[in-house]
Amino acid sequence: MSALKKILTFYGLPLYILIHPFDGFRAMKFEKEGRLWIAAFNFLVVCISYSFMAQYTASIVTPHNPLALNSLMDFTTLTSMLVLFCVANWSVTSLTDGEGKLKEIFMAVCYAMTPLVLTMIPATLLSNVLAYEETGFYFMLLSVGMAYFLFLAFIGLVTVHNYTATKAIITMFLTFVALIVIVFLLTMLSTLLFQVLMFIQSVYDEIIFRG
Amino acid sequence: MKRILAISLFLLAAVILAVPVAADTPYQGYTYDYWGRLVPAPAAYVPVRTFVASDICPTLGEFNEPSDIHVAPCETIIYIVDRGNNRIIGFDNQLNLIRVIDAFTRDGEADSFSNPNSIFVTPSGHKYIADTNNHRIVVLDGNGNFLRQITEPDVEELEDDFAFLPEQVLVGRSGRVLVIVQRVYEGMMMFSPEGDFLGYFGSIPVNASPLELLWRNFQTREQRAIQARIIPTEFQSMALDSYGFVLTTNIQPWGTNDQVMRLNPRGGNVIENFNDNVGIDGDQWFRPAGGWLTGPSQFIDIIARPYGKFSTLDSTRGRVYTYDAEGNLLYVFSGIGTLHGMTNRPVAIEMLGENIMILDAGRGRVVYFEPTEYGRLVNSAIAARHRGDEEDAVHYWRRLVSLDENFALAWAGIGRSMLASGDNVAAMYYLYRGMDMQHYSIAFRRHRIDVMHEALPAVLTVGIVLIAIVAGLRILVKVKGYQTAEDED
Repeated sequence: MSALKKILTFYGLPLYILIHPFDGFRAMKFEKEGRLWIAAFNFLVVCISYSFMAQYTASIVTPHNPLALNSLMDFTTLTSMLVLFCVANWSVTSLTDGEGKLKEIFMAVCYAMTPLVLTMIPATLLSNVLAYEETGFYFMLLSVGMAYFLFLAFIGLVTVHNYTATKAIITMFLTFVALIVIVFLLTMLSTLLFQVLMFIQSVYDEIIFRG
Repeated sequence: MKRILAISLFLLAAVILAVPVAADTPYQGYTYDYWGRLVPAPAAYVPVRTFVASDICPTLGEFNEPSDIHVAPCETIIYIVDRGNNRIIGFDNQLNLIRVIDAFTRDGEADSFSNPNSIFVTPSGHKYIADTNNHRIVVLDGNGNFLRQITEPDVEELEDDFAFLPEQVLVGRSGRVLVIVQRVYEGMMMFSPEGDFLGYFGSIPVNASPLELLWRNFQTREQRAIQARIIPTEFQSMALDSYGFVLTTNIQPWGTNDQVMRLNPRGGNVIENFNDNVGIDGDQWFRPAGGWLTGPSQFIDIIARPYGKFSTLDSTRGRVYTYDAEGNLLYVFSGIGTLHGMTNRPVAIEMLGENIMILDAGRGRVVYFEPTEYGRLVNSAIAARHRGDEEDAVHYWRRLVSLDENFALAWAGIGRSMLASGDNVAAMYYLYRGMDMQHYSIAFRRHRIDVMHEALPAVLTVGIVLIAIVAGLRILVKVKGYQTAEDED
């Protein structure tokens, strides 16, 4: 019994947010009950669940190509998506009177991931006992988790920034615009850097061949 | 030291002995797996000989831009349309010249061909020749006597400067004559056996990109009128399959999935493809552009083979792709090159029994292929499966699997027979290797019921006993608690 209590005190806020999102996120922000490492833990579990899902979902449900699996790649993709989103959201909301700090945005999104933590692995296990006609249950479970995650993340961001719903929706849209701009800048930067490197290499080659 | 020497000698021998096992064809056989990845396969067909016109008869000279090769169905005579020389050469399997058709008598006058493009021989021996530059289709009987000709139909909707340039001709089961005509986009022209125009047959869906359609939305009526019409491509070739359906190919600019169509007697496309990730469009992976041997496969000729199979000839890379009735790619062979078994500019293919001939217009010769043991096994297995004779098919699938472990159809075939015989666990293994998920699911569902039949009694017993124990304990605790409460009073 005490072990369960320990888990509840350690993981209590994410579970509380699941049922009382407004109170939970308010407690996270204003009563300083949010912990960065719990948020990171939540995200890590989602990453692991994602790789687990890619590897162990029954091939009746989604025929994954076993040779195309790459857990490191999945991890990198998810992390960069999260970081990009947080940075984009922060850069937009800091211009539009949002009260959230970067750390709080990160925590809000990660705390909202609890439904994913709770559904991805069970859905994967479930898929292994489903026949072709019953795959709807698997997809239902997954999409319920996903929808609840999006709902929680939205409420989390509203609370963290102290926004009204309309303003939150507008900033969300602007966040995606900022995301595209950031990705574009990154691509351009890497292309230009590559060209500079190519130039340095060709200069080096010239010197080597002449010398 | 001796042992090391022995091992190294053994390894050396293994390496030397392993070399002849590799196929000595200049091309590599391959197919695609469930996900569309390239999977190497043994060569299914090997070239056995190459012949030119003078091999048939020294007086024939050389082929000049030959355009079609056709085997008459009843008499096994091979006809080659020697377009540049305005003649048709008929010879048999052993390369004995049987006849040269270059002239005939029409209404008492001598007549000849001008740039003939193709020939079709009906089961009764009548020859239909697309005499392109004479704007007609010539019909000759079995002895080469002129019967009639089909000329440009008197149709209003044709434009005034329209020239009737027939390229390919085919006679359907009911005697309807189907003609592919240059610059006719409505479909094939269809004539009655007497030569009356009946209408158009089959149509190619138009592929306009979404961007093009969006752009057209913003244009004015005048701009749209000036701009080129979005029109379908032309049919390239056709073949009559054993059900009387017409297999056709057309060249799509980006190799989209309607390159091959199987037209039913009403002209509807009934081709089947059971693969989600691999289309009936030749190569899945290719360099998009930039020189030699690039771009999507373009099927310039097709032959209908027994048991619903068909083979198509790709002009981009000179390969022959063979598919079964369910759209599975069975094997690929030949290619563009200079070695024995490769072609320079392939234009037509034809089959003679199980053997396949490719007509190479670039070098004016015919390459004759025979199936290897592997190719024969694939053909036999597909035949048995098409007949519904799964027992016989499994026999071939098992031998195929020992030759080529990557052949998914074989694994799925074995799995299906296992499923039929009720061995669900083995069926699951084989069907998974063949990525046949529909049947795998059936095997899995049956297996699941078996497992539950075995495990449920135990699980339920243990569960009921546990519930009983917990309930008993709770009652006991309650009674005891009541007693202690009474004691305290």
